[in-house]
Amino acid sequence: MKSRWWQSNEALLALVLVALIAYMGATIPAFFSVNNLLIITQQMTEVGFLALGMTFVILTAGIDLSAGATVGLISVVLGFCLSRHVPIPLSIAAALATAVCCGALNGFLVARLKITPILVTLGTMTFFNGIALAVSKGRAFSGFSEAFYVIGQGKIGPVPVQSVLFVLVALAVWLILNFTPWGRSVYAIGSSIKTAEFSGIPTARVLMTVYIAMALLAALTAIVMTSRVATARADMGSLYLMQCISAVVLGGIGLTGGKGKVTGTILGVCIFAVLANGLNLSSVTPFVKDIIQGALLIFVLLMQTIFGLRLKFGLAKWFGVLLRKDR
Amino acid sequence: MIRKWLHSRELPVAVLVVVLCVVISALSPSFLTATNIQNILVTNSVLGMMAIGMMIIILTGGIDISVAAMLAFSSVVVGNYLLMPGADPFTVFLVGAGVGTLLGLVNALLIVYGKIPPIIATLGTLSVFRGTILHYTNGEWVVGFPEWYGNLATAKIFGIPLPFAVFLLIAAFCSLLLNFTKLGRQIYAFGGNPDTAERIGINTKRLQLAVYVLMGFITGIAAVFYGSIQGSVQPNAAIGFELSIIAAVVIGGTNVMGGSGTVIGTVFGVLLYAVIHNGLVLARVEAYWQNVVVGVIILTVITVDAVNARRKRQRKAVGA
Repeated sequence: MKSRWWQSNEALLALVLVALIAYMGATIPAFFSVNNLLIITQQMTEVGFLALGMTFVILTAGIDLSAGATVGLISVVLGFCLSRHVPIPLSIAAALATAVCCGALNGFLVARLKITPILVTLGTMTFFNGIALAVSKGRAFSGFSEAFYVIGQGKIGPVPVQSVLFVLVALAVWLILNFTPWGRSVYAIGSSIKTAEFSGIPTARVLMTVYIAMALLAALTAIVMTSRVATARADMGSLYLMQCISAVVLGGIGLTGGKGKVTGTILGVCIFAVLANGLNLSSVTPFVKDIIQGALLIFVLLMQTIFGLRLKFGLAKWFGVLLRKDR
Repeated sequence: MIRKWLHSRELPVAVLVVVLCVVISALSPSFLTATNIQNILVTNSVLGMMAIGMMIIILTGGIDISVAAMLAFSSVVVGNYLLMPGADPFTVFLVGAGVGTLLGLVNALLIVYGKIPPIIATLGTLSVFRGTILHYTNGEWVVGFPEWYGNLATAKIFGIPLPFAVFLLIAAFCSLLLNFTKLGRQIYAFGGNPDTAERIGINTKRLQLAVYVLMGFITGIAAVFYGSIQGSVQPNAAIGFELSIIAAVVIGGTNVMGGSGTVIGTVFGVLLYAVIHNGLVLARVEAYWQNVVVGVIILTVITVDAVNARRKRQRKAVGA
């Protein structure tokens, strides 16, 4: 059966998003101001970058549990450089270099030694977090030069800088995944690594670059976040790990690999951002926010299961049969 | 038999535990003292109990990330029960186990009937459990328990600290379950290849239900000791503990893809994890470096494993 666009997962998500926005707008007066909508785009960038990176990784049937720890480590490196008055471009270069190292370590263990990604990144998560703690001695770096704050606090016209950055990066990721040989081989590896190998795709090299790309996007999260909160700590980003995996999975990227779209990830990120913002405005305790976010994740996945079953056995099939008879 | 033992995945871990113990006791005289050993055993028995449950879940190719939240949830409920007049040592275990089993059942239903991948289902319940208990307690600690409750952690049976004895009991029970019952063999079969297991007529739903509910049950029991060892109960307790548990299971040689792993391996994994932590504290390594060391050890263990597995495969391919 050919699936129609309105049966797709993205359509379901868009519906949830619109319903959520409508509900928030109707119940919370402050929600529908331009300012607040811009704040939402600002709030979603940090998880957004990580989620885009995680999309790459999960599309290859992997997972990166070290993403949050990577953000912490890069943030600490950045803070270490900046607080010693290293020029900003040089500090950012150091941060990106750290990201490449982190990604390369994950990539090497996954691609060359063929160890299960969940194991590798469990180990590197502890390792990266340990290095970040050892470098910072558990303390926070602060007191950076003013120019650095532009990235996380500045605005271009009314639009926050990082929102612009996120749109550009998301567009780039979309183009790369859909229109480059590299992007297509990411999907191929996720569907079946053996088939990909036999079709002549350099799987090890692609996997390596996937983990490096993940780490580079984590570096973007770290840079934006460090600039926004004006401090650098080892535990920054640890909260984002679960959030970004939730957003990606909500976006319909299958954990078994090869299935899902960047638009899904972005919708997933938007849904969580709108939800978090709305709950903040309605002054719910953060604890209830946790409950609702977890419940939403489970709810959407249950809906996917139920939809899947219905498509297989239920109404849609019956309608399909009826329609065919009419013809 | 001896040969099989020599080539097993457990032996290197066991040897490593012994070697580490010798090295640490040579470096630090306070390691091999009765108080320190008892301290290690008691503080890690909660980790141990839960690692056994987690090992069985991982055998089926699943995972449970919500365990730490379940632990906090159960221990808060237990704590509130203890504040009631007339709380007694037997009912407290019933309460703990009951709550834990219910939470495990929630996970089990979502995974088995909701068909949500385990890692995602438990990711969701992780925030739901944690959020619920934080909301209920408003983030406040529960303190002021009856005196006998604190004694649970220090009580001894035949010279063995009670929490550690319970850990050994659970380990023995699960070992028997896995090796000598139909359900146990089915768990290995299912983890090795779910499709085949389904085709040869194994009730895979019942098996998966059992595994997640058992995890909840064990967590509930562990929660009783957790509060007793800590002396207070807080809803924010044990954040990130699930990763220590998974790490101990992995160090103990259980394959995360499912189908292979043993209880005894997990016990050694827990001991290794415990000895490393204690050793680092005794060696006065700054707390900040501990994660580096633990990370390096996990990475080393899995790398050596991968290299060994590859060598074995190549030997087979050559036909030797």
